Amino acid sequence: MKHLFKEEKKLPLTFKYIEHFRTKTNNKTNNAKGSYVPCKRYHTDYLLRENPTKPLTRLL
Amino acid sequence: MKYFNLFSNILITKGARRILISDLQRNLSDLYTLELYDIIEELKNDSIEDILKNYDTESQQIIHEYIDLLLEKEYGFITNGDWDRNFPALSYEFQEVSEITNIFIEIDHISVLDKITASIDNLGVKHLVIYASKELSMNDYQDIDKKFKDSVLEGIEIYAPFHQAVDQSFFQILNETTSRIYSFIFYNCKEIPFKTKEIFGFSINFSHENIKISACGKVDLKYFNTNLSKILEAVKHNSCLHKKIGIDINGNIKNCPLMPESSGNIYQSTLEEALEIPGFKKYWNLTKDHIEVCKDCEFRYICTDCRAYTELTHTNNGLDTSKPLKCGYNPYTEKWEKWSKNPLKQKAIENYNLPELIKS
Repeated sequence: MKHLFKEEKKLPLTFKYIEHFRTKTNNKTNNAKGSYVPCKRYHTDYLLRENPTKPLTRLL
Repeated sequence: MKYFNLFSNILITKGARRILISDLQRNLSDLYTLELYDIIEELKNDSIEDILKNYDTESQQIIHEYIDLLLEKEYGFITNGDWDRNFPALSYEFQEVSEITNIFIEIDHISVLDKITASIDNLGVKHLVIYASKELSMNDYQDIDKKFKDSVLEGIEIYAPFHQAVDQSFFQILNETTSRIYSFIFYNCKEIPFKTKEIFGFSINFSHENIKISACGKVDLKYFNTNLSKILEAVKHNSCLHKKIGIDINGNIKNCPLMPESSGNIYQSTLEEALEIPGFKKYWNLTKDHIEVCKDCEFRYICTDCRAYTELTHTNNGLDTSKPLKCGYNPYTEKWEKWSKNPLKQKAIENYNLPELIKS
């Protein structure tokens, strides 16, 4: 959604006070980002990359 | 009075000689005897006490064992009194917003894909399966992925001939530079080029066979799958052809690239136009319940149909309702046999001109 809207008023700076407790290694193993792809039509950067629920072809 | 209630997410498919119980929450299917089917039917209407009255002491023990099995497998639960009407049945309506969910295309050059990119976005296509008859280079794979950057596609599967440049580093680069490809199948590969424990964002398969696109349509246990979306589609629609578009090597737009009837060509019309042509969707609502032999098969909702290659024995209202040619299962004997050796299928095999498949 970040391409679509510009915030008129910025949120209060509460995020500044959030304590980060995740270590670097934790971030590295979190590869969930790889499960998403950008999609213009749906106005998102997070279209879920999913495998089909049935075998689309049966050649093997 | 105690009553046994089956959970709504348990689907029972009755076959000629046994039943398949599918757990749509755990995505598991199990085979049981027809006897259990009769007991489940009785349990739907009568209390456990009333049912037991109809059986002798020895059989009562068996009924108890069956109820224990149903409880152990968590197919249902017991209530005091008949609450059955208060547990509504699951709707078997298949809901899918995309006009087309998948496209199967045979290509000789990747530039063909430019003809369908706009339609893919318009139709909300989720998956694209590409069968390439010629070798594809690293650039080709990257270009395929790039063509669909920002598109609505959720995944791309590619069949292509194997060649020497395909090695571990080839995939390491593709893993970094592509995002939508979820499966590579390399055919005509004499020797598996490498083994690795590395985790890629896609699966890789090597086949020593020189797979032709006409090899599609096989019915095998490995292709059966139990999940809500797949089963609901199979209950109400054709499990292969519903919401599918096929494009053959000449650009002809079909429901499946291996079927003879075409509804236009990608060089002259769009996929949206082809969909409007009468007859394009004629097989979309033909379920296994109306296909010969399949209608008596316990696997009919977890199996994926094939209308491109059938035994060519039955038609109904202009639709081919014969059993899929490449299915070796007989629900009347519960046996699997090699379909290509079946003497009753030889005429259809010759009709489709598939002699190479008889040998395999």
